[in-house]
Amino acid sequence: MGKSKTLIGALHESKSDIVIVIDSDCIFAKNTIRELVSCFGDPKMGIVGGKVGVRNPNDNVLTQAQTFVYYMAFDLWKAPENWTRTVTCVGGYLLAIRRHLFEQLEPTVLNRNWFGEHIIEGEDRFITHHALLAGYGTYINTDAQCWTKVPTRFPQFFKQQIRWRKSGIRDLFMTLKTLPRHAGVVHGNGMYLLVVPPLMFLVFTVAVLTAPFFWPLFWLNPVNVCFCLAVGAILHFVIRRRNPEQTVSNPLAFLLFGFWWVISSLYLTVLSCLTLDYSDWGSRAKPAEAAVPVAESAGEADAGMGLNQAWEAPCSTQTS
Amino acid sequence: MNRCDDFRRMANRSVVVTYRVFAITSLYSVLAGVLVYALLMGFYAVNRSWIAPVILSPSDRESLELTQKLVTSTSTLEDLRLDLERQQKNLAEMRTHRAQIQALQPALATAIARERAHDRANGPELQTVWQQKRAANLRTVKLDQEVSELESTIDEELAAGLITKSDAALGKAQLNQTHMTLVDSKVGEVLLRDSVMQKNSTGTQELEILDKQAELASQIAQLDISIGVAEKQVQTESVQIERLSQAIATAADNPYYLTMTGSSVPLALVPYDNQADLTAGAPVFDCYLNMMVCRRVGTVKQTFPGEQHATHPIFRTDLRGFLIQLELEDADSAKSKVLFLGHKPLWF
Repeated sequence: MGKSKTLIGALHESKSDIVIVIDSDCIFAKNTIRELVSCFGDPKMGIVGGKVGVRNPNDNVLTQAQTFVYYMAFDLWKAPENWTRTVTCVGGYLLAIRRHLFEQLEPTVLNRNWFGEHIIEGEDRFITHHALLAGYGTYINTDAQCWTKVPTRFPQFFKQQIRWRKSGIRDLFMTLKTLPRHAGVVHGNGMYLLVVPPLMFLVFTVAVLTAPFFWPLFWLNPVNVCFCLAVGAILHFVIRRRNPEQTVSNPLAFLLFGFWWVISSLYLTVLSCLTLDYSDWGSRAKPAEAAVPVAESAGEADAGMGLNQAWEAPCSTQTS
Repeated sequence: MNRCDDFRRMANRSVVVTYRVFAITSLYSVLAGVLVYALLMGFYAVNRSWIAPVILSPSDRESLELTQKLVTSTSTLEDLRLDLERQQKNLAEMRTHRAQIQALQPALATAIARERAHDRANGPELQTVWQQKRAANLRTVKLDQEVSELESTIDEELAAGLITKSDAALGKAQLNQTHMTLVDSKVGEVLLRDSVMQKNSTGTQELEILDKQAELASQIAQLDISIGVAEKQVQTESVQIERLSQAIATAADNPYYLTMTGSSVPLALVPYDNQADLTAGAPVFDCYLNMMVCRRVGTVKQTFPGEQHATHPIFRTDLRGFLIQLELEDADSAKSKVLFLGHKPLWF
């Protein structure tokens, strides 16, 4: 069915004003729900997410490196997004959304497609973005803590990363396509975060693809390794003090990140950019659904990338 | 509306198909690029027969610098040789002069000693003679006074007619002779006195001789100094000439020396790690596909010992090695990024 349809189905079964979505492999702290709900005291708040930690930080070097990255993501990278209540992606592992907003976005979520090819992954980023476009704020409450198990094997890990990268790239193209709609609705900081960081992935990929012609051994630059060692040391210290349950036994694992940027640019981004027509959850492979009938996709909301938006005006019909 | 929807569906489909074709092509291209890159990196990390060709031309900065230095050195060498020759002639002349003066010195000393001895011997004797002469002169003065009295007598006798004029003249002549003799005797006395003075004291003439002796000694000392300086200069210039000659001879080992003929020279940089197959006459190979489809293009002519620095043609890192001269049948091979020494890198 895909997670989107599952969520919509669950939405129809629920009655509350605030809907909380969690992943089945997450566990959360006792006060998580209270922390999530408390943020909706602000009537402009549309979606609130929580901070995810790693339940299996020391399974192997891969999980150790991911522990560092998760910590950096929520304590460092998300912080500027929180300042202006414009978090660009509230993760679907722990997400709370206003019911009426979700209902408002329901048709859009269900009709996500890429030139007619149905999309099933990346719904959390999609929903977050449309919440921003609807004029709501999005926020990560770091006091709402949950823990998840991160992939322990590289194939699993790469599938996850490709999924996330693909959703980011789709979101970037959607942003560029609907940029005028953001003006006056989304805070400038939010617009910057929706465009520049994902664009940097593409720029970085071009740089990595062309680097061998100028500097064949660019990937052996020791600066990255030294930088990662320094960052890993700092993170290790911080995690030990603030979240000792996620203490990594081998801080040197963050060295992996020193080489990750090459793989990320050369493999993830390239593969993601060139498989936008293919939507697969990866870990739970399902056959891709047939292309969405054009009549269903006609509607007032943006139905994702593709010609729908461009063709809506002359050819759309208001179906009941 | 259905037509619109159908058209939209067709358009979407064509976009997707085009995208998929592009995506598959791009993915395989990227994959191929990554594989080629990995293959190249791996190959050059393990291969030990590659060399980097270099073409030197007479207008290269290093060639021009070497030419300038050689011209300056050759000119300096010629100047040094001329100066050495001059110095050597000068030195020979000074030595001869010194020898001559040195030969003169003992003779002069002997003469001075002899003269002194002679003076010491003759001085007292002369003194005695002079005293005798003086006494005689005193007596002669008395006699001359008496003779002078006679002169007036002669006049009186002549006036008295007691004697003839000729007798008077004869008498006066005799008297005059006596006066002359007295004068001569006085002159002799003075001369004797002068001689006595000369013999018994240090006169100006002796002083002049002594001065001459000192001058000769001084000349010898000055000549000694000049000879010493000239010898050192000759030695220094000889060493400089030898060093310059060696330096100019060593320049012939410099690869840039070959460009002085006026034509470009194909060389190659051999990294220190890649010299296992290096011998004079070893074959050189060039490849069409970087390391595949290779052909023989020449041989190694000679090796230059000096270290050279360059940039690795593939890795762009610093490289140390030395230059070799190539004899290429295909001149264009000198423009390749790498050549291979001894054998083809792969089987073909």
